[in-house]
Amino acid sequence: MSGKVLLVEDEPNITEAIRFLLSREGWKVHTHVNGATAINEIERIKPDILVLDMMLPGRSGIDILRDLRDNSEMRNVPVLMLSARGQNRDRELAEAVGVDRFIAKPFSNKEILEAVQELAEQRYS
Amino acid sequence: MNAPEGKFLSRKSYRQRRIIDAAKLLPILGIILFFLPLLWGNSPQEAGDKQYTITVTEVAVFIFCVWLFLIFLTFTLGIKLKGIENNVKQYDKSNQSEDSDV
Amino acid sequence: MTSLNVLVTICLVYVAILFMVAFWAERAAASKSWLWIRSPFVYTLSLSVYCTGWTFFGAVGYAARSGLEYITIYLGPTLVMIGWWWGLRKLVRIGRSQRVTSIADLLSSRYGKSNLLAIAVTILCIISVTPYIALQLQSIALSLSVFVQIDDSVIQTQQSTALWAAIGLGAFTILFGTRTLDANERHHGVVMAVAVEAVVKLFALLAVGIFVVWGLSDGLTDILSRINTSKIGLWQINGGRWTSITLLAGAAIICLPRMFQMMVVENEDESHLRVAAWAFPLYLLLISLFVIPIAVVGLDYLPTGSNPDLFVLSLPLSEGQNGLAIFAFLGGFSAATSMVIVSAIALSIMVSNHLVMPVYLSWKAETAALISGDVRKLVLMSRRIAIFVILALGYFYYRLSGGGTALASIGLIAFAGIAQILPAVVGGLFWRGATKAGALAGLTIGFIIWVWTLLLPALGASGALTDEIIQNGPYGLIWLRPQALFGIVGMDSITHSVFWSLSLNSLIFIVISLVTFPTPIERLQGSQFANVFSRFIEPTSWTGSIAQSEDLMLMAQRILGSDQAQELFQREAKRQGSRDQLPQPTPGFIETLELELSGSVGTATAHAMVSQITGGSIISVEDLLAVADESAKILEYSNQLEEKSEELTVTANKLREANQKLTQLSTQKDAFLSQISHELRTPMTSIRTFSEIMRDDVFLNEVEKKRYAGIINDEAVRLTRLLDDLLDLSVLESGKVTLNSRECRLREIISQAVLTAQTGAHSEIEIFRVLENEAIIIQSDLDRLVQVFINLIVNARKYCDAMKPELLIRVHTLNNDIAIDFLDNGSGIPEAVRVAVFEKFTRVGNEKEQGAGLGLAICREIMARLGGDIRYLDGYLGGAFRVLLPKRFEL
Repeated sequence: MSGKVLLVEDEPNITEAIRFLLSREGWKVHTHVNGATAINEIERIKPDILVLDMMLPGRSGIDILRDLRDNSEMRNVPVLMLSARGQNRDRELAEAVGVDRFIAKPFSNKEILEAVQELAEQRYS
Repeated sequence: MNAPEGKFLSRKSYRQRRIIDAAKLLPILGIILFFLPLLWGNSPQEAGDKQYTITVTEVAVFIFCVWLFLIFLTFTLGIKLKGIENNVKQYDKSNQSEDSDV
Repeated sequence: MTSLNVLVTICLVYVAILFMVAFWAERAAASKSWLWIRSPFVYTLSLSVYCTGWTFFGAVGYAARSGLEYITIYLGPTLVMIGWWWGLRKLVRIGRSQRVTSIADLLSSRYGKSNLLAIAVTILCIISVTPYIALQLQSIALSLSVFVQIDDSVIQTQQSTALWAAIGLGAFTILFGTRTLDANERHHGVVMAVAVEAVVKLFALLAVGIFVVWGLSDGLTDILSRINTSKIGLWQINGGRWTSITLLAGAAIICLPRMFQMMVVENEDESHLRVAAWAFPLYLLLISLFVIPIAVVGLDYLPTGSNPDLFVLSLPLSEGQNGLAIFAFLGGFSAATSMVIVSAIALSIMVSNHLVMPVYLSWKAETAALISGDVRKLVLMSRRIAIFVILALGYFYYRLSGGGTALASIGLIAFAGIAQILPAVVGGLFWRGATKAGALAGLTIGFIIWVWTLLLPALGASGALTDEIIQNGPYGLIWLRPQALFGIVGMDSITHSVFWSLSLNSLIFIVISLVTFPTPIERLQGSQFANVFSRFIEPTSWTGSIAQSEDLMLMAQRILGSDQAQELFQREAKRQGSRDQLPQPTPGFIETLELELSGSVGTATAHAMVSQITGGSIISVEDLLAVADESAKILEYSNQLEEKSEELTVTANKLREANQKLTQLSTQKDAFLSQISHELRTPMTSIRTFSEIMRDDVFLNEVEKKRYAGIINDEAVRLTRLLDDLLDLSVLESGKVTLNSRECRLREIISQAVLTAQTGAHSEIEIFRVLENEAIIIQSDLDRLVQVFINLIVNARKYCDAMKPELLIRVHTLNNDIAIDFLDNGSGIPEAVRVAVFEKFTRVGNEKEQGAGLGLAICREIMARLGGDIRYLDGYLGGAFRVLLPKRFEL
């Protein structure tokens, strides 16, 4: 299974780790850092799967997702959200704006890979 | 905020309390003694009628003696109170260091 | 006869010596070579500013006219001094712990920091003290004229002498009284000069006395018999005057601005009072010892009609003892000058702090001028002008009153005016229920009665009162006659005025206090004043466990009602087995209390309120008490006005607002927790992911392995640093940090910080310093201080966005503090976030730099522990931080 993944994440080390993991599985990984310009980037890249961090410089992941689901031509892209704040409220918030999967940091590599895999299967089935 | 004394110190603390009482009563003693001459009479109207009249020198000597006596008492009590004050100060300090180690 | 020129020269030389003494004492104080400047005896001698020119010359005149009555002027202070344990000790302790600057400030501070009261006291003091200053100028002029041949020019000589004396004294006072703006208002130079003058006047009077007893008479027995046969030999006393003058003199030693200045404000060490308690009465005894002999011998030797106020001078002169006469003249000169100098300083402090500053601040409302240097300059300038104006007033009063005998009685009149402050002071010190309204009302009534019954009649024909009014009362109202108020006749005028003014003053003070309700701040200050010995008070902070209990009690009373709160606290105290009325604020008790309170104001509110008092505080305790007060009032309203739904809505809205404000506080706490979580989990994510990659992936090459191990290591380091910072911060915030105080030159500390901050940096910042300003020796915890400096330098290096980054480290002194400024040439911190930079987890801009945003929060905590401060300086283009460090920091 392969396709394009867009990873919006501001921590360079975490970006590098996820890029390594996904590209090893055959994904083409694009990355982006800034929350404020994330929507444009999503519409430009048109990824098959979007991995979105919750706390981003410029704009929060929740806001980006809400906007994406409401207005964008990319509204149907499956989204995996990451959060480091470790609160249940975050998960509820993310689910309220239509996230497909939510993973709290720190995660195991297997968790990420399986989640991306599942999202891809959903999309193509 | 009384100093934390054990039972062995109760005699000492009793003494200290009485010294503080004495220090507080001192001005009252002073007032009584300094105003005593008022009772010795010779109010201006009746001065002439008395057989024996009290002179200024007698009153002055009395007042200066009382004065010296009070100064002496204050001096002695001051020395005794020094120890008490120091105790209180030390206690304040140790108490403060319980709140913070600064 | 000694020529005027010689005398003037002697005066000038004497004043020059005083200048040198004062100058030397200031320098010794600054260089910390205290030793005997701090001696309790210097303190005692400085108190002798009580004995003015009026007492030096006038006491003999007084004795020659009224016999032994003069001694009451000294008995009053003696009684107050020997009762020091009971009264003065408390006054001095409060003065020091509340940083009181004057008698007006004391009352203002006690009665809820009310400036109205301070203004009232200041005006009262100026009105009472100005004639008194005039009296001193007169005594200098009069005593100088004794040496001059009687001719037409005497009056003129006197007037010009008084003018020159006023100018000279003004110069001295401005030079040593307003040189610096000391936070404690202490003037070592002036104190030392006054102490020297005290010695001179005592020895001068003793010398004249010894000359009179053993030179002009044949020793003690002779002098005693001379006294008995003189016209004052008979013991005749007016009990009313004896009592009221003793009372006035006792009040004066507490309330006179100059006495308060010397006794409370200039007090270096509380234990000095213990020595002064016996030494000052001894001084008074010695200075009054020879008064009657001099008076009696003067009456004997000098021609009838000579002024008894000048016997001290004219006796030695008439016997050809010119040297002794000059010595006596210097004694009187000392007495007069020290009074004028200290009074002018005390009054100028009151004028600048309570009249000029409030006007200035309301005029420049809400500008940032409070922290800039402008205000200091303004204060000093207003003091200088005030000193000048006060002396000018004194001089003109002297000129207007004609310099005649009308002035002689003004001493006691001034005492009576000042004594009006006494009820408010004593009430404030010992009675928690005294209120501002009571103090103000009592003071006003006392002042009016004093003016009506004593001041105006004393001004005589030149004053505002005609004989008609004195005889028949204003508008024919007999019962308002100034010297026979409410129809009481036959009392001596001083006794009459003191009786009515002080008794009505006290009565009104007590009654109004009983019927009015104090504001929260007044209650707080009242309990701080009344209980100054039962707990350890720091002026602003709220440490100390009993203090907490008391604050909790105050708050609980507002919310639960007095009875219920007291019952709750007493029950707890009994349970803890404490004999005190207040229980220790144990966690259990605080929880119970919180529960009780939440029944009345809601959980969030109760929690926030209690944790504000027991924990650190973002809003001040005063604010909180105000909120509590409001809530209590709201509850009261809602009970009363159940049917009036409209008003209920209003109160409900108010409550909702208060609740919102407090919920906000609790949200802040949540935000902090999730921030910590984020900062911890982010590095952990990288560590976990890469370690799993290294564990699971067998195809990694050496370069990749090395790189990933490096990332793991970096993130682990970042995690450790974060944990260190958090621990550091929590230790600092809880106050459990151990500080090691050492001495070191500031220059070396800054050098060390610069070196550490610059090593290993990718981009250096150019640092400018002024080394000669950094030569100050400081005493502090040096490691902690270096930590702060490093943080500021590293921040400048990281965030300064100039093309060519530069940092200026500037050291200067500010009041009692050393200020170290860090100014860079970048674009600074945006105004909106300046307050926030010292909060935890605040990072400003520039995402590429790592760091948890704890650095400045730690710096702020450290500086608080070191007794200093760190703040952002407004008004600079670039980033500008100021570190304030106390000159002496004792752990």
